[in-house]
Amino acid sequence: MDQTPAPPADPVPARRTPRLRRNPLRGRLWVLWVAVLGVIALWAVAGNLLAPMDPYAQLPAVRLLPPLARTEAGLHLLGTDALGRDLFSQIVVASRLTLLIGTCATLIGLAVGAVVGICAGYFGGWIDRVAMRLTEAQTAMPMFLFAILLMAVAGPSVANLIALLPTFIWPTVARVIRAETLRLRTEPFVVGAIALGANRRQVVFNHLLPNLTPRLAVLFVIDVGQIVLAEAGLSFLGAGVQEPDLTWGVLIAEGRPYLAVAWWLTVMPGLALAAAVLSVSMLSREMERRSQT
Amino acid sequence: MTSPRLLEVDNLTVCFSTSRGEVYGTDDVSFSLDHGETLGVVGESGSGKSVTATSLIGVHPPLTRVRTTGSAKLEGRDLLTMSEQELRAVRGAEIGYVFQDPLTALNPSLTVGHHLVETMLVHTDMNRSAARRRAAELLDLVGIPNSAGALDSYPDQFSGGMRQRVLVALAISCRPKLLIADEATTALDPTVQSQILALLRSLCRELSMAMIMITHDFGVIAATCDRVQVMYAGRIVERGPVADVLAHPGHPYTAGLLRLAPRFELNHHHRLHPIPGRAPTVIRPQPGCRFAPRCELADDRCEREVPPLSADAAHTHACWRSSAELAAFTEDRTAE
Amino acid sequence: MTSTQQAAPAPAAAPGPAPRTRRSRTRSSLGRLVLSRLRDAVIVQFLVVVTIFVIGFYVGDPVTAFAPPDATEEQLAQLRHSLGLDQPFWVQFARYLENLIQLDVGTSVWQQRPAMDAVWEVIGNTVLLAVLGAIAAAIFGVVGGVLAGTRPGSLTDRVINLIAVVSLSVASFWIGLLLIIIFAVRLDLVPTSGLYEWRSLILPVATLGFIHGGRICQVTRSVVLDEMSKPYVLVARSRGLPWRRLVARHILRNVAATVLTTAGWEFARMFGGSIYPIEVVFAWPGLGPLMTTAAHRHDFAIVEAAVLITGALVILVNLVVDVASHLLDRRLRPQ
Repeated sequence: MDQTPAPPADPVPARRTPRLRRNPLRGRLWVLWVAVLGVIALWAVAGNLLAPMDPYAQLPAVRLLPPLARTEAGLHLLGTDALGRDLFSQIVVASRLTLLIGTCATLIGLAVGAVVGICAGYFGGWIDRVAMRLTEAQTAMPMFLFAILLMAVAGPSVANLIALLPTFIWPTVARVIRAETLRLRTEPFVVGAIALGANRRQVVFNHLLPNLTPRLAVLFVIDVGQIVLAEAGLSFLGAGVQEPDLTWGVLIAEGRPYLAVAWWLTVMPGLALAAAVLSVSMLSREMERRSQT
Repeated sequence: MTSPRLLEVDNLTVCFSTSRGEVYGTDDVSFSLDHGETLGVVGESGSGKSVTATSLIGVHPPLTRVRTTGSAKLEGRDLLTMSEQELRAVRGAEIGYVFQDPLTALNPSLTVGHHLVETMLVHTDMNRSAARRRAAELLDLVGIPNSAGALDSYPDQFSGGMRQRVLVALAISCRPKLLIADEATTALDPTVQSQILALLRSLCRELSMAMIMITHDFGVIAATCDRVQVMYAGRIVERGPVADVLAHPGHPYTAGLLRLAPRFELNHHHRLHPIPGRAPTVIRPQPGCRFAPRCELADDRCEREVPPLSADAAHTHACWRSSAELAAFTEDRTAE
Repeated sequence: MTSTQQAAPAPAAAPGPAPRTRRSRTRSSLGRLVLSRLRDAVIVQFLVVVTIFVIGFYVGDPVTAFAPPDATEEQLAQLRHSLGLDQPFWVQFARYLENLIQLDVGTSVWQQRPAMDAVWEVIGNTVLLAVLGAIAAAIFGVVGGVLAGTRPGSLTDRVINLIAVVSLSVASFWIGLLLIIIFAVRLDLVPTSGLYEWRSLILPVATLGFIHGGRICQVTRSVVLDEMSKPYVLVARSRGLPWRRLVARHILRNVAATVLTTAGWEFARMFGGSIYPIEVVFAWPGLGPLMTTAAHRHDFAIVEAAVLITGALVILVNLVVDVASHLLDRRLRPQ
């Protein structure tokens, strides 16, 4: 049969849709993102053991060495900083505080948002109105400036940062959870439970929370990246983590004065940050895609 | 040699590439159309009647990959091998197309006048004000009252029937030689439907346009067409003058379709005879007659060999059974 | 509601009078929109003011910050008294509000002048940078989004998608530093920092455009894709409209409201945070460097002034965006 490829009937939609040529990596790329996050998580847990050198050991003789430089201390994979400290070891160790702040702040934000959202959605009435007005109000607030102000007043510290960062995310969490609660409330199993005489506590803990958990997991993945970026920004401006505590944001800030002579000091910690957040957002997209199909 | 006919379609096969492999839209379809003639195309959804028409103008829904073989000559020029640019000059100018759903066929944020003027500016060398005058005339022609005011109205200010009239005006705005009405009245109320059919019929006469009327409703065909062809599963199974086909269907499928058309006869308990089984939703190459699995007259031969459709006869059908056999069977059924 | 709205309105008999009722409906709902936004604005600003005051009252002690380091406790107390800082909470709060109404948040200890003045002086630079950044972001986002959305699944689509995701996953200031290293340090094409000539605008604007363009790009792509699958596109193509015209006149027009709203929100988000680290990176004489320096010097008056003014700015921008998108998209009208 003579079945020559037809003339392109129409240039745009018809021709350029390679539905057939499926990318073999597609759908499997998430393994890479999980691996990246796994390595970073490992650094965070066992950084002291995994770091090739003491991140605080100053060797004035080997200041500002470029990546892959060798000294008697060993191979400096990512070079050294202005005080002769090994950059790679610093990045490994800094992952702990970065992830700690990110995770804690996100969990607190999720908890606050979930409580507000469930209350607003379940009880309705004035609680709902006040809660929703609050979330709206906060989204209109210049949060980053406000954070700088609060950190300046309260003094920059890790604890203050963990207390402050959740304010960045709770309003969105509250709104999503509220909507989901409203939806669940009309589901037969919730209505049935209420009809069978379940009290509020039982409804919330036995019926609503278990069904909200997947949604909360997705929200966690989405928000943790934003929190980590916010922490880095605040730390970079000196309104977050302070030396000698190390996060990737602090490392970028430290490297900034040496931009012209030692690019790796700013680029490398930023790459770690980007890899972590990119993996997380790729994973969240993957999760969304799966929840849709 | 006589001058070329308006449209000559030969061995048109349209394949869609999907994630589950290749699927046929139409399979080896041939037909022709003279100037000013109206041809009806009947079939169930998925029978390939719309695909035949859309592949003539090379417009397929987004996200589809299509492969077309065969030829479709409009006054001797093959539409299937034309470049996109040439084809664009044919669409709207030489072939007008009216789609099924008038509610979504117009851009809601542009005025009716904008749609009309834009089409004429693309295809003719009219200037804007001339095109606007012509647009008002067109709205008059399709029977929209207060045409000057209607030009500046938005689509959602019109009812479905009025919007279908606007779409007809759009399709004929550049005086095409061929109008394709693709289920153009299906979404409308019966009364509005008959108004639109009358409009199409009279426009064809006034503008001496040919028309292909695609529908699943024999009533529509009877009201508007000279000839009819019946499609099943991507193939043409019967073709002939409308009155002839209605009176003496040659293919069991046509006969089945006709039995299905409800008739309103007094004192007569008329029983509906549904065609058993279901039309295939996905068409893949297979030997034999496509209708055989549902046909009550089918035998071994029907499942092995594809019955041919004679190209010359005025009334022809693709079936191994003789007309007499079918007539006898139909009589039995009707007598029940 | 929608279906009746589609079926009912003036059939052929009177297409004329419909627009008038439409416009009047628009106006009243627009009024409601503006009023509700203004109410939110008042609530927001009040919350900000209260929070700032409470924190300042209980935590900060501005006296220690600018008193001479060897000041005695007595001298400090005297200083507090002269500033009214020893008054009870409500008295101080009332005075604070009173001053605020006159747009006075106090005197900058560092600059020795009203803090508002210091903020007003530099806010123009921040707004300039933000406007240019938003334009850059809109260009990147719309061009990328349309390219990707009209070619779903193609290589172009995937590359643009990846760029958009990356832009949402990196720290803005880090991108700024990266650009400095590449274009200022290595290639020496543009000045590193400051505001000396127009070329010093290039890198900060590019950074802002990249960071904020990603979301605009994603939104544009999805609405274009959605729009492309609507039947009217098929019909327009059957009329022989060239693809470019179809994209420019039909699709872009229909997605304009959504895209502009997104761009407006991104513009507002800049004032919410992302622009300040970028200003610091490029030593752009705007609010960012002013505020960080002020925060380091415990000069809270300036930071307060900046928070209040940018808060008002964010609210204003959001309001303008809401009104604009309301007017732009006819179909957004409440029924």
